[in-house]
Amino acid sequence: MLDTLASLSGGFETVLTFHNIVLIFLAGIIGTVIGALPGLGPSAGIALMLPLTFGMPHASGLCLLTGVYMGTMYGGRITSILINTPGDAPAIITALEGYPMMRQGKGGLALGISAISSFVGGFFGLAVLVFFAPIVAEYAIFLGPPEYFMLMLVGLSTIVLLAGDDVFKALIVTCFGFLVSTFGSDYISGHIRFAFVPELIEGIDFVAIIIGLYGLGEVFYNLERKIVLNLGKPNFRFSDYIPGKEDLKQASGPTVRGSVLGTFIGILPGAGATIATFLAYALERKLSKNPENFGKGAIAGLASPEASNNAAVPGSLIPLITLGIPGSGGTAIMLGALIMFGLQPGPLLMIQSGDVVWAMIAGLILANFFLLASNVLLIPLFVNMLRLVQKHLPSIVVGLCIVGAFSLNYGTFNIWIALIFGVIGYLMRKNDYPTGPFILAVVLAPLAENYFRQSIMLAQGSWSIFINRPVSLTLVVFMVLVVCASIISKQLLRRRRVGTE
Amino acid sequence: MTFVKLMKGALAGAVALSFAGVAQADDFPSRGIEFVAGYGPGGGHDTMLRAMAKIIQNNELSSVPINVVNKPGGSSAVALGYLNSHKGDGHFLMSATSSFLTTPLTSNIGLDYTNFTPIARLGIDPELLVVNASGSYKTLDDIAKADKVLNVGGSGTGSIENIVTIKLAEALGKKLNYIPFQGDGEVTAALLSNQIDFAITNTGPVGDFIKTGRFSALAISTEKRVDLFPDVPTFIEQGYNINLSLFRGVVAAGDIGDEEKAYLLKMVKDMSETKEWQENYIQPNSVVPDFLGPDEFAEYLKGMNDVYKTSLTNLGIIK
Amino acid sequence: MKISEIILLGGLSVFSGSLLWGSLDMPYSTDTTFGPGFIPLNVSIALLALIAGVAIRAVVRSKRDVAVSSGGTGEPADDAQDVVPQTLGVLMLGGAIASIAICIYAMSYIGVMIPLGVLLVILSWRFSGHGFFKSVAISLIVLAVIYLIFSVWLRIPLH
Repeated sequence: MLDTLASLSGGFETVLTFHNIVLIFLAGIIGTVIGALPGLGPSAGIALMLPLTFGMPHASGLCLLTGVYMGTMYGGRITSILINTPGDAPAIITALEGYPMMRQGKGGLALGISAISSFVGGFFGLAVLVFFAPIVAEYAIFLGPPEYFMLMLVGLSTIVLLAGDDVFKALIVTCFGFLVSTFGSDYISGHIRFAFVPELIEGIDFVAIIIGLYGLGEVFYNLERKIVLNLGKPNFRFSDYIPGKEDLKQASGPTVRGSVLGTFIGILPGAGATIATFLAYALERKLSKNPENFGKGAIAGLASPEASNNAAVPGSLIPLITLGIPGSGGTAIMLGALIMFGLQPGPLLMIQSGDVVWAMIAGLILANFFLLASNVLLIPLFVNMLRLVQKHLPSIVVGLCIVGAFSLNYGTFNIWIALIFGVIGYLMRKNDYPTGPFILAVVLAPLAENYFRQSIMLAQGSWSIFINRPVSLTLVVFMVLVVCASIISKQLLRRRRVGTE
Repeated sequence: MTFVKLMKGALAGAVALSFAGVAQADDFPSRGIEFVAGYGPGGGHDTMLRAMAKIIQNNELSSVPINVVNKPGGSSAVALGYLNSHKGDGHFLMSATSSFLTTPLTSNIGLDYTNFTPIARLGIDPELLVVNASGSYKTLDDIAKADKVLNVGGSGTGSIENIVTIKLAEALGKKLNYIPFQGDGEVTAALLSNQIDFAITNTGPVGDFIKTGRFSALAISTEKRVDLFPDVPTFIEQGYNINLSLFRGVVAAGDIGDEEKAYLLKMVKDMSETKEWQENYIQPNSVVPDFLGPDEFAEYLKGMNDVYKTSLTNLGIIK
Repeated sequence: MKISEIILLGGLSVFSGSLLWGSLDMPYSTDTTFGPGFIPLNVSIALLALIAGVAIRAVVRSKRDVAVSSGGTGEPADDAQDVVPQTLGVLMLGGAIASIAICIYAMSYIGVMIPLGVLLVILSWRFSGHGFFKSVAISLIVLAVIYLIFSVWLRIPLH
């Protein structure tokens, strides 16, 4: 423990120079802006900043990249809450609760709560990274395809929670999501599925789908109805944006749970921040005393996923710096950056270049503080800026969505995808088809499919692998219990109702 | 100095002109050269081309500026289409790795490797057979004698790792159960936790684990031993005829003039001989430098294409 | 059933039908586990069945509604009131979608910036009800900001 603290303070010594502090501050702001832009998320942010880091000292370069990475997680929530266009995938769930709050005139509050939750999540993840990284990583690798498959099933089962009133409609969009996810090359079999045009060989880009479904779909929906957001009067009084005691109390439990969940899902290679947000949301909804408030601006449903996606950032760095295994798109590009810096990622990284890694961790801690401060201070700016441009919002959102979709692959293909899903999103909203189960299926279905096939292949055709491994068995038992419990509680409820009648 | 460069270029052009007798040649390159990456920023193709462009410009190996352009999409299908649309124009150079052969084979984009002009192979990524050092297999012999079907990890079905595994299974005369993973990281994790019996993987992700003794490499898929792993015997010297690696090279558009080809080749060859290239690209990426010129590279591509075609057909991926 | 829902479900049926057709070419199973055709085949059949289910349900309900509404419920009357503004809204929306599509088509030939500028002006002028000069001014500002962020700063090739 003392060794760790000594190394960490060594890291702070490297980082606490004027040049580095300014750099980290800027990295946070840059990340926030990139994260807020639809289409550009952590991977794009890190990749685009990569050329800037050449020629910098390694520690500064890494601080810049991780600061941007963390910043995107803060930034994604801003456009989710303000204009219902998630800046990147981990911010989708934020829109489910944040945008309803915005429409009730509580957008500033939503931004405030989510900034604080993000900070707590990031901080918790960093604490785990500092003190337990090597141990946790050694355990995390023992989870294999069977456990991941079970985890994806838990995730998919949350479709029930996002389903809304009409089960038929939820099932239709779920199946649609499954089908959309099958496009492109299937690495398990080597076949390419449904590549009607060459661009589809890599599948339909998930981010283009959310840009269309949420961003353009929302514009189309509003164009028809002329909805005006309730933004209140111009207001620069801070007290209105700082969450009160009551709100913080409501947010505290979910934030802590989201932090823990996010860190551990982040550590697992192959899971990542997006899945962490889904699971965190589902958990809160299950635990909530008023689940009917979810989807209408529930603070718990906002705080927990936001905490979890920020916690997942340090979480995903753990396997990267201890084993050289990237757990997400963002860390995969970080891996490339480490190689370019001449630092060989792998088990020797901490031994050979520990000073650089500790400086990066120290920089990340600093970035998290800067990000909290700047994000809270900037809320009035964001809200008032939105008020200023509100009448022109449709064309601004369309402009950002089109350019955002273009930047995914530097071509028009993804703009077409976004437009198609914009129309689909509009039609879904208009007819009360829930988008949650669709998105969930698009994200989780291919993972579940592939992990299932890998599991069976590992067991050479036998299904027993799911119950022969302790963690997998635990997850199976857990799921069976949850299903039984919910059936029994429904029965009890019905009986009670019959009794009162 | 630019003047001298220009003069040199013009001279070289003039000399080439007198041999080839093509009229357009003396003004090549007439504008900037575009390096086309088939994947987005930060990917393997992108980083290789950017490293090349930087070294070429630092050492003034080209008389014109070089611009790296990303044409991501469709596992390099988009870049192939883009390059093909500039047929006959030597101002484009594209990075080529296994997807250069496999994407045309597995999809119907109407192009294949023969539509392009090979310029050079810059290096290869050998495949290693790696076991967990705490496991019971210490040599290839142990693997041959194992009395159960072994689980082998590697990247996707139809990849070079998969093909090496198939060849090994044929050579050993025993069934191997190949499990495809998404990316090297997941293979490494699966081997660390003994979920697979051995892995076929390229050297980058496992190098450190071999150094620290957690993994041991039992064979390498090159013709001769490589400097990176002098102690690792080849498959060939252990009696298994497997010589298959991934390649990293560059190709130009189809039907370009001989001078254009010669110019690009000289630029790339000079680049590959700089110390910077060795230090900033070859070593950190654990690539084995193994330069091939246009004709040999074309021959090599033909051979590799046959290997992929046969294997993918046997796997039922292509008909 | 509303027209928009019929369009949605019709589109989904065509989509899943074509995937069903395509998945017949792919192996349904392999030695040990299921193949690449398994999920698309089964899920597209399930989706078609579900759509059929919803369609049947809607027909049954509308019959019942007709029966009920002759008894005098308010619902159909509400629909009638909405018809005029709704048609206008749908026309606006169709126009906006068509302009975006034309704009994307133009982008593949002449780069992103010019078609986007034209699109922004059209959206703001014709579909959001701003004056022409105000629309042009605002669109130019938006375009400039987008250009600065994406092209100058992030160096994404927009043209």
